[in-house]
Amino acid sequence: MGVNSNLTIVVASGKGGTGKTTIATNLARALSREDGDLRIPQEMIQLIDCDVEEPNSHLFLRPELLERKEVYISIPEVDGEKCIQCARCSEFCVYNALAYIKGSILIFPELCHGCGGCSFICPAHAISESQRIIGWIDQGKIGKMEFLQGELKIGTPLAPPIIKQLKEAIDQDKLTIIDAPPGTSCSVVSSLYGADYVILVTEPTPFGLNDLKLAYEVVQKMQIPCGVVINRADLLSSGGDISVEDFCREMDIPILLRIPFNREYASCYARGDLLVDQFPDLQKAFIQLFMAVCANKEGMN
Amino acid sequence: MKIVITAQDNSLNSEVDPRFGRCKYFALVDSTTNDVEFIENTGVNADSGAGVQSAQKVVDLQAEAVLTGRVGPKAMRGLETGKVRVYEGITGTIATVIEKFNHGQMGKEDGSE
Repeated sequence: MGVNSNLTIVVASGKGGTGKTTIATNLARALSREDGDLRIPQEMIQLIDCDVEEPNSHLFLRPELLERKEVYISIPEVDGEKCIQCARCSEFCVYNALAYIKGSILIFPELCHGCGGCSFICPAHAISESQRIIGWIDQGKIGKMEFLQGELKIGTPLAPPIIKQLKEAIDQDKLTIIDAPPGTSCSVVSSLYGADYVILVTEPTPFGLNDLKLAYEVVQKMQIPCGVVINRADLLSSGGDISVEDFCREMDIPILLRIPFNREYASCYARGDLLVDQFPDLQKAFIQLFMAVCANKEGMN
Repeated sequence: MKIVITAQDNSLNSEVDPRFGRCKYFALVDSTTNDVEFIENTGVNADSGAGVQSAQKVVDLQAEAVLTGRVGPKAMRGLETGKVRVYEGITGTIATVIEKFNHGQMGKEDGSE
């Protein structure tokens, strides 16, 4: 069984709170351990937190943040002298970021997605573009491992441009682990785009199953191989059920890892510590998770 | 003068739609003749900026006043620019609202002017 040490692995889930960050951060730590079995050099591993609405991988990995960059999109500016009041720009914009009101163009920067279509379509060349800050990208190190995260500016609900820019930092020669946002929206699709493999994290509950189905549908459409991690896998006696396992069997989705519910794990998480640092069994389990991903990916090719 | 009332349906017995941006219909009323025309709001399913789109629609209809439940800040900016008077917190049927408006019982409007 070969180890593929330059994969881009996205950790995603339909449902929030199933353990994406737990899986992403612990996988990164397990693989980057100097005394680990795989001996992938730390500098050849990157972790990218694409959950830009609420990046929290840093709480567990505690990187040294070295640099913060601002992320901008282009928003329109109208030259009133040149504007011929044709209103084509406002008709073009599906987000209604421009309105033609009594002979002038009103601009609503908070609605603009920065596509540039209005300036392209303007027959009078009256629209130029100015920059608007929508968030930040932080770059840092955990030991020699590279760490990146995006953060959305409050009041600017535009995650995809930040995620796209974050992902420009992916080094194809390195092993990249991406902590994706929850759900199945644009920001998830942006996070998944270009991935070699997706780990879908879920829990054995009706909500977990419902959202796993949605996430699986997205991943299928994007034609990315995937496997499932079931967190709190033994919660069956307290409201959980076996339907997640049934679904995976039915769809032929490999279950890569089952993490049992354990009070000790929960306290470790609540302290902001990594499971693989505290529990040797889990260190082994996460290495096996990675081996299973490699094997599954290889089987697909 | 022309006024717009947001309506939940296309009849005089319809209730005022409390939403401005995503109202179902605009009732365009000529307050001198009492002619009413119901115009479907095509912006009801807009991805974003439904209020802006509605504001532009009202200005395009050359209405001088809007009577509705609540207008959001972006739509308000559009209406203010278009010098449209805004009456918020309006309830009741379209017929009663027209009646009250014609008798000057609308109270003090919000917004500009």
